[in-house]
Amino acid sequence: MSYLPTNGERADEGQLIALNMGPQHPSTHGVLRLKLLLDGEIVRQVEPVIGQLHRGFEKLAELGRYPQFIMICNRADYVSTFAYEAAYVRAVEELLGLEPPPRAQFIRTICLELDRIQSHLLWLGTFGLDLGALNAFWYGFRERELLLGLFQELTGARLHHNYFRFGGVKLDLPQGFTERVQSACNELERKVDEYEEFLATSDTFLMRTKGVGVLTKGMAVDWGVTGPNARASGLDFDLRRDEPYFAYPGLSFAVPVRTEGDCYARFAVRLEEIRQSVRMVRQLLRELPEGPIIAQGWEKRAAHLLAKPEGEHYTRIEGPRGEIGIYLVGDGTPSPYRVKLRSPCFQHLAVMAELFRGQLLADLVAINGSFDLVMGCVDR
Amino acid sequence: MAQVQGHEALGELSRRFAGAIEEAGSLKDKPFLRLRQEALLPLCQAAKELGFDHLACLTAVDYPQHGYFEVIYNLYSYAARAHLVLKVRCPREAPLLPSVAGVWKAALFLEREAYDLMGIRFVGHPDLKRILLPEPWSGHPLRKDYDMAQEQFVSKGPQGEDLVSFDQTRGW
Amino acid sequence: MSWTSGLIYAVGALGLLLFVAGSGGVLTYVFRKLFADFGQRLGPNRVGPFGVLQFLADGVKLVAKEDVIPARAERWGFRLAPYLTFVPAVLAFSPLPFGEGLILTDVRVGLLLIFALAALTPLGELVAGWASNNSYSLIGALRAGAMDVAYEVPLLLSALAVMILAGSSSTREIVEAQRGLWFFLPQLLGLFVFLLTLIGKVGVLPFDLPEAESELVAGYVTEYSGMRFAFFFLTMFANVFFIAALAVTLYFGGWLGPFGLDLPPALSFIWFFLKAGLLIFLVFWAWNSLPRVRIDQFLNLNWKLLFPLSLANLGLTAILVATGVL
Repeated sequence: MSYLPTNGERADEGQLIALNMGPQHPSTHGVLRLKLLLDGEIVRQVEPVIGQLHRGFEKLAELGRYPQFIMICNRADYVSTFAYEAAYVRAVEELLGLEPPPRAQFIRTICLELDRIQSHLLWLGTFGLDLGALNAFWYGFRERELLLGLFQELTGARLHHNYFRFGGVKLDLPQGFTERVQSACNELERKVDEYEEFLATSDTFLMRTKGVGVLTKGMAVDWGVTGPNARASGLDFDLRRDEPYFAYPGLSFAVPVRTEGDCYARFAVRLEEIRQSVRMVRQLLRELPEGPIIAQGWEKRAAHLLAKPEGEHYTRIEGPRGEIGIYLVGDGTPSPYRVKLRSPCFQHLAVMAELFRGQLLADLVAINGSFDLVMGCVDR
Repeated sequence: MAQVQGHEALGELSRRFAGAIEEAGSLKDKPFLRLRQEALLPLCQAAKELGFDHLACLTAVDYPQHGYFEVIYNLYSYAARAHLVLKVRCPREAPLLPSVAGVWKAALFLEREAYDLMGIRFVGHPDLKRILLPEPWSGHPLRKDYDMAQEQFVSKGPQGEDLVSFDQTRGW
Repeated sequence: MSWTSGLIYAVGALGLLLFVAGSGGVLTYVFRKLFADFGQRLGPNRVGPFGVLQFLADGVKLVAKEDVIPARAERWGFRLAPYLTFVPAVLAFSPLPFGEGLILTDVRVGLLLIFALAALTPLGELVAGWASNNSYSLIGALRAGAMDVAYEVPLLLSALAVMILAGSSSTREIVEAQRGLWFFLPQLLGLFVFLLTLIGKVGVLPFDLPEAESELVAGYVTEYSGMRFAFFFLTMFANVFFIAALAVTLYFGGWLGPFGLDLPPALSFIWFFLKAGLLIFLVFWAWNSLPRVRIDQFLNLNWKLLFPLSLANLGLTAILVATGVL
């Protein structure tokens, strides 16, 4: 059988086709490699092969000092860089017993919510692209650009901000920043309606997403699925509401929950989350207190000398993709003894491999897109 | 599934496994129990029945100065909104632990990761192999005595399998 | 056939080839500009005024590229496949009347000739997919084959209704028969089926399943590069023009002007190209705004909806023509 298409691997089981999907593939969103055995178009076996983006962050953390890891860990999830930063900073602060001033809490929360919006927008674009809606991609990126510009103004960087500090944030808001965020919010609110009209009223889109890749609530809990993906399966849980941190305790917002658990539910939940995030940012801007942006004594480079926490602790925050956890062990020296990054995407990948089985190849792409994987977050 | 409050569940677990608990306390606001190895699996099953349905995080810490690894299970109960941290120690010479993949599916990947990076063997895991590093990699990077000066180079074999070599000219 | 008429045919064929290649190239430019507009970008704007020469630059780039054939490919098939798709696509233009008297091969069975030639295109796709020795290519080719069987039947059935209406299968006579009443009015149902199946035939979104790039990388063209890829690419855009031209011929009165506003024969092609241009825009519009359907959904659409519809349309047309209503 010299004509049997082989793609690095041989299919020995009768008529099955072996297919290496990725690591270089338009819709594996980075370097996910799926070893598939296909029966025609139907996926019979899936084995995800990951690690191509493994950069050994947990080891790197042990080699540097505490503040140095802020810069490294925001590279873990390169789409929503504020989220990991916030999780790590919060973990260290809780071990130190350090309480940032209210203004810093508010600025952090604004950053996190804008970050969630831009992450969801990127997801929206790529999900559209996965389903063949070419232009969703450009629209998603256009609005994301708006927010990246704001981030650059605030932190000096578009993606890797290195902005949060133990006890506060690096810089105060620039002049006129709140007005520009306000107008961006107005713009976004209009655009989200437009996306909903563009995608959710398209029969083709509904045909491709409704009832596809159903994740039940029981499965979601058992496999450790969190965040919007779990909320689309009916798990009414959001760390921002149920274990509030930073400025979340005073915010009023709704947590969108759907029970279908299919690709459309994941789409709808994320779209609604963008709206809720816009609402939160508005409220935060309204109630933004005056005052210092960093705790007394922690300005400038003090953290390099002062950050010597002792003890261990698991801290988690609600990232755009789900529960981002940091298990931090400090031994009283200036370097962390052990930092474990609990990645939501890592857990999602495990359950996705389960959902892919028995689906059509085209549905595999839709499910993969709907879970919003970021390979940097999976591999760390 | 019994709908019980977090502290009730903790009390229940402490009572039923009183002989197996070596240490109890709290990590910041989260209660923790340190158990003997042999009690891990039954206690995990009991904890799941008591509502701790979310295995949020499973990780291992290396303490070479004491000669053991500590494996930490962070559990959460969605119903009771309660945390529980379980800790188990296993000797560095024979890092063997029972797998909890049968209790929470989430442990399937997490245990593979702990095996890959820390070298803890989870007995009873259906598919315990490396997950982030290529299979023939030598050593477990997150151990404190891992030799980082020894570079390893990865290449692909004729069948697409990973090859690891210490010789730079053989890798990519 | 005399020596001179042979020469005329040769010149005509060469002209047709250049025309198809040129219109394919121009359409790539138009498509890229439209795609950019839909996505709020600029599109090509560097080569020539407004980037109109971009397609020439792309062509030069593709020709100058290294010719790569995968080591384990079936070399003969791999080389043959681009021509197998391109040649029938060009030939299918020859029985099309672009204007009054502007037709290369005016035969009595023009429409049948067109469909016979157009049905050859998937053969090239199948050969390409098989010969590439790549799983993505193979799946893409199998999809192309399955789709071909599915859309070909409703396509022919709806065209058959037009033939009954015109009482002829000559493309020129079909256009002539539309003096007074263009066929899209009595054939609304047929037109609906015809356009949907034709979009499936060119394989553009929402029916671009054989080369669905988010699933199959590029389907049957995955392993192709350089000149061979250019042939596939050109074929696709030539096909977009072809389906618009065919629909204009069958349903929108070919070179005839609306409301009897006919132009003199030498200029009648203007109407033809205007109408074809509008239809091409429609295709590009769908391409830019609709997500991709799944292969099973496409097959269901064709077999379970379009096939019965086209059959009903054919029967209805036959009855109406036989009873003298139409």
